[in-house]
Amino acid sequence: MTSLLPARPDHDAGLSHHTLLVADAVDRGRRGAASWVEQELSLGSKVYYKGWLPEGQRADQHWITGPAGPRGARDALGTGQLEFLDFPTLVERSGATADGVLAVYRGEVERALDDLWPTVAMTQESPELPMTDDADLVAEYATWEAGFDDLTHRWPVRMLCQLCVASESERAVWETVAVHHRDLVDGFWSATADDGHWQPRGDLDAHVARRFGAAVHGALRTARAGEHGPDLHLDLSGIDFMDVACAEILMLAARSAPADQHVVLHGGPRFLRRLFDAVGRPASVVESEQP
Amino acid sequence: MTGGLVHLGLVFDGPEDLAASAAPTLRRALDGGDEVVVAADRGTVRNLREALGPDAERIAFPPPASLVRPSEPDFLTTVRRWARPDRRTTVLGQYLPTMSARACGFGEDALGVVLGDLPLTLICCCRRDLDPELLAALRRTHPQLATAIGVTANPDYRAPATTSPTPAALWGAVAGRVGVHGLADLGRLRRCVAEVAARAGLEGDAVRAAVLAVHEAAVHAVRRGEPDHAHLTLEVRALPGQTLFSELTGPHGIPVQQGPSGDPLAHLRPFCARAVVHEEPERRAVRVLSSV
Repeated sequence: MTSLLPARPDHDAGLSHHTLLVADAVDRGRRGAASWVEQELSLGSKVYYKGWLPEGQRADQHWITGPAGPRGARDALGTGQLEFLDFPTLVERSGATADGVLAVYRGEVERALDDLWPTVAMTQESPELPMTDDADLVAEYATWEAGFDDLTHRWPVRMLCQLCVASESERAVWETVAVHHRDLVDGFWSATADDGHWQPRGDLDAHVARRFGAAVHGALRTARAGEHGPDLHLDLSGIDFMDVACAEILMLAARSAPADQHVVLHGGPRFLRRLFDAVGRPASVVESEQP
Repeated sequence: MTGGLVHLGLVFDGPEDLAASAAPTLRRALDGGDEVVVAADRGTVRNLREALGPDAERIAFPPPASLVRPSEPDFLTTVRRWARPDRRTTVLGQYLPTMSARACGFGEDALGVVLGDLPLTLICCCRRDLDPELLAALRRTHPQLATAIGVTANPDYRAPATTSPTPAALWGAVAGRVGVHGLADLGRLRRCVAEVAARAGLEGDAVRAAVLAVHEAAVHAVRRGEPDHAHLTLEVRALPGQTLFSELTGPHGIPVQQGPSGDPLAHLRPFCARAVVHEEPERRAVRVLSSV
């Protein structure tokens, strides 16, 4: 029924992807990022790490090269397999615009491939963007994240965006999760999108309800603009547990969607339908006609 | 009468008084087509026959000592057997002077929690000059009283307190115990419930419902100022093939807002047989009962 193992998307390490790693606290986020970087180093990827560097410190003093960091990181920094860039420098180089950010990332990918690295792994810590009162920044953010998708489609690039909930505003958490709804890992739940179907997995409960709600809105928003749209095809077969809070959020999101947009349910246990009925299932939530 | 358990207390001074207080409820039961059983002393039976006239012929009058008492271990099992699928059963019994007030209180409290959905009317009678503790137990454990003017609310009734030792014989020994820390930790709680539920004989959607109900009870219990930091203890007891009883205890916090229905547990009731919340000065407990 419920698993104590954190949910993980079924990624083949050989494929490109753009994933969001959500953590409640800094130490949990670091553990996840360290594990990912360690795997990429062992696979022989060129790794670009962007993060916060305390004032006056050098890259080799960042936690990623210390005892809490991945094995081999310090050596990789020395050999050039791992490159570190601190956020202030990134802002300086990119101008904090979508075009500028993407130019920096694109340049790094091209340089790594020119140096004959087989794959490129790119990750950045939670950026602490001041999104609360800055609609323009939100739009820029969405644009450069779409650009990251493009990078992973064009080249052998694996991208891990880190989100530390404790470090970000509610608005930033919401926007970040919504943008990444197609590929995210958040403790005991995760979500992927494939062939027009959006599939949340694992345990969906009150603790992650707000983030799940953000992902649902992101999925609905994307479905409206997508080739399979406007309906959102929701694959329930990977859900181990869903509580009333998450069921309510899903039903409310469906209810607030435009009149021509439906949430089409695929697979999953009969019990979930009973739960949806109990919290109030709108007419816009329908069953798939596929077997 | 239809619906679930009606649990009435009756305090009396003698046979005439008992018969006068019981007669309105018994007459109503007979008029409603109930099966009626009265296990009372001969004086009370005589007075009831006079009060009810020919209708008393439809009442079974077994010997007073033949009825199982709330203080006896198989009380709940016996009471469950009184219920009929097609009609309500009304049973009147008397407390005996030899009964333990403590054990009696356990049994009476358990009735409301375990058998609240059965079509039964129970009239529990205690003579006023019996042990004061026994009389107090009756007053505390019955939501309503049977009186000569009919059924009235009992101002002395108190829902079972969290400090009451749970009668293990009723719900079995603790089959699973887990401490969790805040909302982020509820996965361990759900797994504990699922494991015990499966061992108790629940299957498929019944397990899912039990897990969901207890999870929602936990969310309710931690819904306070800092839901991520509340410590909760879950104890799960099981009677294999019968019931799963889960009790969540946490710190008392900010009173939760009532739902639109006025019932803070309304959202979890579709997924369990019974759920009760207890607010005390130092802690809050939520009890959930699931049936196999």
